[in-house]
Amino acid sequence: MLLNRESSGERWRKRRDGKEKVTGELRYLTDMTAEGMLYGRVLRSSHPHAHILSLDTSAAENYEGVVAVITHRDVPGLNRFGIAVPDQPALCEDTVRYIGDAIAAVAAITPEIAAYALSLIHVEYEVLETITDPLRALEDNAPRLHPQGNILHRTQVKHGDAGHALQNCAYVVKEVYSTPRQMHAYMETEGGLFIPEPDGRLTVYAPTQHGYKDRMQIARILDWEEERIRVISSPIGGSFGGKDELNVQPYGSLLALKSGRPVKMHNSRMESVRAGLKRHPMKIEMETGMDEYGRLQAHRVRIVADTGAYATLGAPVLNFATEHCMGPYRWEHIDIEGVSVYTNNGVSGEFRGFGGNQAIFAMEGQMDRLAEQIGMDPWEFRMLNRRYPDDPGPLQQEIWRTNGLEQVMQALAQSSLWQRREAISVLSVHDSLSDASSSPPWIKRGIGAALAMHGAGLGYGIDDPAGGRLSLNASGQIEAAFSYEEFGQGLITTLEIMLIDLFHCTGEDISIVIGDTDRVPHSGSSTASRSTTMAWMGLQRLKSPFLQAILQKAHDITGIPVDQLTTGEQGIWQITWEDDAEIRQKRVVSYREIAAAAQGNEFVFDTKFSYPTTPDEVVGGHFLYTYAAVAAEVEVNTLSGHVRLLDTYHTVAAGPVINPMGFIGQIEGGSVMALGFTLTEDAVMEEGHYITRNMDTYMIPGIQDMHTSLEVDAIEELPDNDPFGPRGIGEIGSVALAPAITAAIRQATGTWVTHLPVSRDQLIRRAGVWQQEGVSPR
Amino acid sequence: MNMYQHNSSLSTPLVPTVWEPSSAEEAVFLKRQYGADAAYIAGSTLLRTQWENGLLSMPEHMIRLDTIPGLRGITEHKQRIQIGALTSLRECGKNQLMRIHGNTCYTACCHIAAPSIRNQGTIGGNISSAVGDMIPALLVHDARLVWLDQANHLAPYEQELIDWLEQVRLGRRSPDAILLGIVLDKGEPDFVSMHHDQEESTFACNSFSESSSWREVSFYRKVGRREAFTPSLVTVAFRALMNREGTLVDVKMAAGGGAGLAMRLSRCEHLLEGQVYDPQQTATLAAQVEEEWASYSDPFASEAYRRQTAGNLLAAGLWEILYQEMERG
Repeated sequence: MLLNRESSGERWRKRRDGKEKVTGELRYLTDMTAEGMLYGRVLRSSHPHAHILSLDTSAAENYEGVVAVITHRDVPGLNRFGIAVPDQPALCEDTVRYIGDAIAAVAAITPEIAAYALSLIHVEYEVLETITDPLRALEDNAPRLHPQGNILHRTQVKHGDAGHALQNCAYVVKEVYSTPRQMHAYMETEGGLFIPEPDGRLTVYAPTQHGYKDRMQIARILDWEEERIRVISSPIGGSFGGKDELNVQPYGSLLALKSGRPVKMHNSRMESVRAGLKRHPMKIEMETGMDEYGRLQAHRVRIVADTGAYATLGAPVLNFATEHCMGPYRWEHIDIEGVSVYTNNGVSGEFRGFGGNQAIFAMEGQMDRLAEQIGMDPWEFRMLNRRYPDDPGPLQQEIWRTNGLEQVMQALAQSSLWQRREAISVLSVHDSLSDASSSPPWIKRGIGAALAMHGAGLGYGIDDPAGGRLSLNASGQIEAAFSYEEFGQGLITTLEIMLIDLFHCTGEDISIVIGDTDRVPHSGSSTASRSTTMAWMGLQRLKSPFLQAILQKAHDITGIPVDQLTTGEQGIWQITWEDDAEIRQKRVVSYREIAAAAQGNEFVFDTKFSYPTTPDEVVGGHFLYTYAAVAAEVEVNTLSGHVRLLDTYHTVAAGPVINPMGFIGQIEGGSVMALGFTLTEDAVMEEGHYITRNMDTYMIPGIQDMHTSLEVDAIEELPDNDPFGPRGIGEIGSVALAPAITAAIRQATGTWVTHLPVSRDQLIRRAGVWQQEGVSPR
Repeated sequence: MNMYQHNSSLSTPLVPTVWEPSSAEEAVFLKRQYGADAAYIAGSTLLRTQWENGLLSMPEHMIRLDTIPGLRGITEHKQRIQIGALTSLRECGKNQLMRIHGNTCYTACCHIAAPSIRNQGTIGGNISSAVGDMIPALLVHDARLVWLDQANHLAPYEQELIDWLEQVRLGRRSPDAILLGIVLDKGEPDFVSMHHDQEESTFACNSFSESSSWREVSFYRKVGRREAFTPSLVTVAFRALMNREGTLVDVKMAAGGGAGLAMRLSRCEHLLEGQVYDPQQTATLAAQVEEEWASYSDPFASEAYRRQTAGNLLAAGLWEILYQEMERG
């Protein structure tokens, strides 16, 4: 179903936080202040790789207005953080490995004094060789950035004999693809307010995607019991994976405790660029072969990921890229090796798509090249080679069976955009006119498409807890509590719709609690497209006991048999049945009255479970997959090589759509992010320093760069026995647009693109070639 | 004259003094007094980014120019229009005098930065930066700049924009000069304008007037790294008079973009001057632009790319003029 306002009916529900956000009234955590608050600033390394020979903070400490200065000597616990591998110093002791590395931090009574105090801290460095190229890092004589060397992680998937098979393939395509260091570019930069409480606890108001994980990491740094720390983490002005890892929390916490006063930290955009995570730049070499009938035979892949100075989630990202570089296709012979390498280039980490974007760009690029080599329509070629519903997953693991792949492929084939492609190919044979009737001759148009099979959840072998709490609170509202976060994706509205669906109540009857470790149970992180599924599964588990309890209480109060009671608007309603149809007669008791009659935690229900994983012992292997197909039409101006995205079509098989407006928002937002990844975004570094230090040189798409139209076609059908409900769609809008655009560029200009963002040098043509094509004003 | 500092009970070396002169003469006096420690501030939209990026140090003394009366607005005189240097880009981009007598400048104003910047940024600031997107557009209109400085005894004087750019190129820019305004000559009264709107593939133009067989043709093109709110990679402007036969005279072409200084392309102009443009010359013209325009490379675009794009834009712009001519019969 094409999703839009008309097709969504009553489910087209305005976001609860919409008006506040649109009017700017909403206060993010970084907008908060506190009485007596200090301003914290961090001194970051001047060099991408150096030894610290000496560190003198005395001048800063003595400067009037400075209240606290911290260095590594002030870290009572583990002076390291990192979600997966804690190898990043909160405050560096003797070595710096990137220009965002923190050496000291200051809390002062004004932001200006804090900034000035940083200039008073004297650091003496011994500058070391800067490793900017992962291949250099792999050389034997390269400096070792970490005690174990420069390799963070390796992956390997092999079956059959790809080397031998490639030699015997009728057609082989070999190509090297490379992708940019994309920045999350969230609206709200990293920051927070850190308040030491009178009872000896610490309250951290700072955005994150996983409050409990932050709590654990901060406690580890402070050497505290976790329970002494309260993390309040929503609402968030965007994250996209970038705020899952700690950023300013160590400094805010340490400064607040040392000074005994609230401390506010808030990165400027430049500091955010300098210290923040980026998407892993990857170089992916692929050699893919097929037989004379166009059937895929062998696939050899080598992935080199630049993970930067520290680990964070670099290893799982490489796992994900490895899993996704085989696409949703059938293979006889597979030979894949990946390596994630430490360098002195910033820090790469979690980012929407999680390594899938890079892998799918390469894989789909191979598919288009192979199809062209054998002279087949690219979509028919994919159809021919697609995996079957009962096939094992890419890592030969058992996965949950759906028909999603087949469905998205059919939907795209029937889309009006894809069907227009044929018309363009008649008009445009690469270097002839594209749309002669309305465009000047230097404008070329093309349409391309790509396919994605995207795993959700963290994968086998990684702790992936889920859960939730459902209660009737003292105000008489049905209250759902999860440790998920609202960072713009529309989680609150999605939860609201789920609750309304379950209890037939109104928005006013509902309370949603998220983002506060003192008030929510541990239900895992908001990452890996998992929150919607987990919340839905949690509520399914909690619904029955909750209903049973409040209906029983309603019976106790009213004397009406339980089987004649149901939840509804503002309370419990009596129902009758007529021809199997439920008829709501009247409200017999309010939620508030039931809440008033509660004894203790009578109406509080918790559940704990884990995200579904494959039973096969394949680390990182996924069980639930979402499928998507994307078509894109582009216009290439060959005078400048500028590419413009026109119509775009996304079809997504992710189960029932809970929140149509949120669904479209996620796909459209992901798509625009992918547009930036494809055409303009790259955090350029030279010798370990960012050249793009701010948003004036780092180009995210603006409103005029966006598609001229975007259709979202949701395939909601799931197998009858499917117990997992709606799948998350936070990432899938972002993973397959790039190869669709580059395929369209190929059709428009005849140029294959292997490097992102697309280089205009590749697409510019000499003025006047159209004269030779017979296009002339006279 | 007012002067204030940010209030602070602590003495820190961080807070600049902001001066609010009530006349241009006062401003020049202040600039001479504080020299390199002072800077003139108009809209400060560009300076702010340069300070933040460390390209310039934030000055100890900021001399506001927006407190000086009489530097805003566009006025019409008998043979010219004068644009106050403090006129915002937004005002320029909606002014009819600008549209009629400085069409490429008018178009440029609509494509600089973003609406919020155009509200605050001034035409004088755009020019004073020496790399603003207005400059190629002004060059093809033979714009003159009105300055005030001590060297000329605080008497306003006019200077050709092209001459000032040369001074900048040679590092001989007057350090204390204030740009008071920009002067554009009006066209001959019986010429009619024919301007190619960047946003449209058709011309917003008039037919030949009854009294003249010549009319002005012009266009302005900017290529950035995205569609809008982007620094320029390449900016070109073209202006000429054309008769019914397609003969071009008074041809003016300019190219700029990025951090490079814009320049007139005199050899290209010479190539076209007095000629009936033949579309077969498109490639030749593009190549000539490439050869003549001196640009530069940075991490975002090579010099070769910039040159080729400039050539393409100018050649294609002219091609479009002829194409539209043909369409119009």
